[in-house]
Amino acid sequence: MRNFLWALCLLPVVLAAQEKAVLSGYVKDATTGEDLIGASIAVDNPKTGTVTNVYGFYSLFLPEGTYEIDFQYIGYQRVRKQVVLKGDQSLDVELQPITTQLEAAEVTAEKIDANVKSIEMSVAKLDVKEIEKVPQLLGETDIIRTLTLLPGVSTVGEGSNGFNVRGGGADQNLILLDEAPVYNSSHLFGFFSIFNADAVKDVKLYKGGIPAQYGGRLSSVVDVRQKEGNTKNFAAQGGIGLLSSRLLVEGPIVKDEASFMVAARRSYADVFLALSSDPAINQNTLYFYDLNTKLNWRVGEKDRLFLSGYFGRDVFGIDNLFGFDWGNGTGSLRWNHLFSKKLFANFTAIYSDYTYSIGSDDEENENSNFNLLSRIQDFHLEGEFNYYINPDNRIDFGFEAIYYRFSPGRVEAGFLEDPLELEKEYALEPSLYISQELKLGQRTTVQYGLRYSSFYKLGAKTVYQYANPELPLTEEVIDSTVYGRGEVVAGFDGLQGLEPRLAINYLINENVSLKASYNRTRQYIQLISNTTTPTPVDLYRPAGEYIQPATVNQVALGYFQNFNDNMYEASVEVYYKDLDNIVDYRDGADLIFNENIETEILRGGIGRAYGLEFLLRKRTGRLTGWLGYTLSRSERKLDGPSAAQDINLGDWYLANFDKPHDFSLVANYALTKKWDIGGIFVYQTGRPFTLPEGKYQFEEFTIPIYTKRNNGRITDYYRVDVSATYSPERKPNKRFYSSWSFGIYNLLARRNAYSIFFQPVANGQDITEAQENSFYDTQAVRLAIFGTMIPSVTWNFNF
Amino acid sequence: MKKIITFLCIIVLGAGCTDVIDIETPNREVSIAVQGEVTDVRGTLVKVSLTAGYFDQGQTPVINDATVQLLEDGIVVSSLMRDTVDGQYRSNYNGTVGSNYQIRVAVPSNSTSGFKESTWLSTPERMNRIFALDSFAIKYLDRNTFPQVFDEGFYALVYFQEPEGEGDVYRWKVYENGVQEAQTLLTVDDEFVDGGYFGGPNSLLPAFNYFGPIEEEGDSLGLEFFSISKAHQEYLALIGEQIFQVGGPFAAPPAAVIGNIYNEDDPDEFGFGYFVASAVSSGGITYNP
Repeated sequence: MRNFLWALCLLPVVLAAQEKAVLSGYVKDATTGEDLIGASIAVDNPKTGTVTNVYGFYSLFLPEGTYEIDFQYIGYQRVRKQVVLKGDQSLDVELQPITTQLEAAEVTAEKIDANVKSIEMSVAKLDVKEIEKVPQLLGETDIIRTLTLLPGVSTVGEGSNGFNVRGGGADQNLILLDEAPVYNSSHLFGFFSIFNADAVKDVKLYKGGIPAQYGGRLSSVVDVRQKEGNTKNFAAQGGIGLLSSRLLVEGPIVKDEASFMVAARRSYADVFLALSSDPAINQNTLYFYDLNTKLNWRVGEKDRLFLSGYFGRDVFGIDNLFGFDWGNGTGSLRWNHLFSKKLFANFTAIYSDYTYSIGSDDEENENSNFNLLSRIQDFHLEGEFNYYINPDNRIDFGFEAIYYRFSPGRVEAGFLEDPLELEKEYALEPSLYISQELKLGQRTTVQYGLRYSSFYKLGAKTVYQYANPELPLTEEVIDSTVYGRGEVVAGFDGLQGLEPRLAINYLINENVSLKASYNRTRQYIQLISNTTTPTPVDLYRPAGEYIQPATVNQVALGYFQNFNDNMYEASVEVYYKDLDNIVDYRDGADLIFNENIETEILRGGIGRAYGLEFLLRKRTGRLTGWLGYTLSRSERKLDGPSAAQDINLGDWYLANFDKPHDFSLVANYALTKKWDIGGIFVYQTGRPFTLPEGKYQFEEFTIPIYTKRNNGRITDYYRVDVSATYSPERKPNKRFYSSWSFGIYNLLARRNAYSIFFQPVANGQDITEAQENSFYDTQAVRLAIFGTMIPSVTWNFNF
Repeated sequence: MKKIITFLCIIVLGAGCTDVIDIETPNREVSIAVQGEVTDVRGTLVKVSLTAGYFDQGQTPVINDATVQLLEDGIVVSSLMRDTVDGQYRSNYNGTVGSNYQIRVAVPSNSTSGFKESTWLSTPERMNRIFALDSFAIKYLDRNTFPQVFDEGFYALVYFQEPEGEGDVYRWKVYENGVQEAQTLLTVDDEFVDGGYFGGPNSLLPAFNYFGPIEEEGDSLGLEFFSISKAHQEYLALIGEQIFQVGGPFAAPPAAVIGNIYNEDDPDEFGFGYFVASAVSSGGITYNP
């Protein structure tokens, strides 16, 4: 450990000695001034190049001389520049977007070959323009749902909260919005994601080969970057759909120097509810809204500041009396600084907050008021550095410190003199990382890195001791220890906190490469949930006296090939993951407002997940889209402290989201200059569910016997969606422009099963009536979330 | 969560989304199910039955030739006699608050039920204290009264003092004209109300509303409160969760509802059902406006 720290301190000194002629700058969109992430910069002779980082910055270290350099990015006209390099030089380049898909089809042979050449594997990158062309439920452009159409990403079913990556749980995804973690990515109980696509610039998902820069979650990183705001002109865009309306306004504060972006979205299902004549419906509330904001300021040549914010809420009320609401709020302040033309740095301060509350609020009857509030807040400080030694050698290093405050529950009620509050929990998660990307000869690129993380659960906290520490029971508390404020209650550091990362790319030829990666990640906060998919009222809880941090090791191998001048990208990947220290709830667990959460959970679960993913993507031409297929398995094993507590009798069982076959076809076709049509076909193996193996009677209840878990499967799932977009020609001297999107979700009106469950026939009858009416008989019931086709129409505009 | 899903289905689909289907289920080896209670006022009652295939019709089979004994703090204090109801055993032995109770069920080698020769023992359950029900009343309640109700009308209320000291758990059952309300698994603990008086003139807690709106004149509304253990509360909660499944994304996954019955010779072998020890308070009121 000491050597690692030592290396980190020395790094800038060693590297500074090598400075020569550097070409650096930003690549931007010519119409809006937005930075382009991952734009490629290719030098002809000698053949070398680089890509822009997440802030659009690039740096090339070259011998002095004259160069022809190509700047390119998918969906943009290529720009070729001649550069006479004598000493360090800045060069910002603006690329002109290609406005229609037909035009794109005519642009010849773009050499965008990142699929093959980049060190990255197990990465899914979607352009928002691409996502907008995919048919969407109720016309609502949904980033997360579109990601689930890619191999390796799935959900438990329609309307499930969260998503699963390569057999990992929904809480194992690190979802970052302008670097701030988002704890719940869903609106309306999982039907829609919280990302307003208008405000989003770039989405990247790491399923494996996770770079050392990222940590804290086991299975994936979703890196969402918001637009910076147009630095050239004032502009607005928006849309009116069946579910929601949205408006984004952006523009320069100081032209080419500072800009802002504000986007708002609100759903209005509740407006329709109010129109109903049925009081059971018209007194209910159900809506969400979100607000995205960003300020960006270029302070001279070397410094940039970004201030981003997100605030979203879901509000749900029954009968105007009882309700709950939940949502995320995040804020991040970032400072980019160029220490030199080769050393790019970014410092970030983040605040993230997830809150839910359940209660009733009756102004006329204060005694009946009740409100339960639960919350998780975290504060981050981060520093990241990219050191561009030369085009073949880059070092990234940095630090991160997260301070968490968990407020599991606070109850205020008219009948309570003082509010009741569960003890807050505090934790600190510091980490350091370093990684180097190195080209070894013409064919091999390696990226190796190490992340070191640790975690300290801090006081003030009362820790309970139980008669049987293996099976802590509320009624068996034998002692307790009180820790003072800031005292370490439980610490996790040392060798266990080392997270090695490795990626290798071997280029077989210009169009074919083999890649391999390994990563170990560690997760210190886990979501404790006792439902099929997490609910908005599930909260993350920290590792501590009773909960160990979870870890995963993942290896992946891949074959990557591009065809037809990079018009087609293909890849095949295999992966294997083993998970350790997974937490599950005890059957019948009571997780809300529980002081001693350790009494409700089973610990030390293990998991394994493995699979094969195939992806063929057509990037350019009139027809674009992809075909993805995943063959996979995800299993868990959890031995309880006694036979009756084991899950699945202590044997391996399938995870809720285990779907061995998952196929998707996504296509978009430019029919004419004005019309685009799109379609999706999805086929998945039905997810596992649990079959009863018998029943018994207790009082008047017929109780199903389930000792196995997930021993059956629901019927296979398939769905077809279609869409058409009408984009009239833009009139040269008119600023206002609008287009229409039409769509049908579930065109075949198939009643895909979400689940199959079992119940007594006579539920709800009174005893005598029930006894006469085959009270003890039972039945199996199938639930479909969407049993019909769902049409949509959306009007989009910009000016 | 059931309401939420139903509600979402209504707004998203405008139609119901479930249908009954045919499906085959695996059959587990037959096991024993013991359900019973010892109380401080009305003796001991136990029902011994067997598990059955999930789709088997009618009631599950019972065992009528078992030997059933009640243990108090580990010592046999009563042998239960066969009752007139099939599979049921009874004794007049009343328990006392503070003692621990177990039931032992021995199935003979040649049981007519065909079940294997075996002895089953419940894990000890402590009989916890119960409070006295002070008085009953019938009052008109609506959204602006205290207690508050959603459907206005006449309700049966009870007044009592919850004893000081946290950790008490209660179950209650309601009887309308002597018939128990079906399928109620209502339990409450004193987490938020420890030591409070329900319905006192200066109390923040309202009187306990146990029935309403009352439909007919002359209705007699009975109430029983039982002290139960935390473990039994969890067992009842699990039953509720498992039998009222709705299959939605936020439904609890199926789980084994096992209870506290184990094979005396092999503690790893569990039976099903629960033997509970309860102190009881009861009373009632008739609606005569």
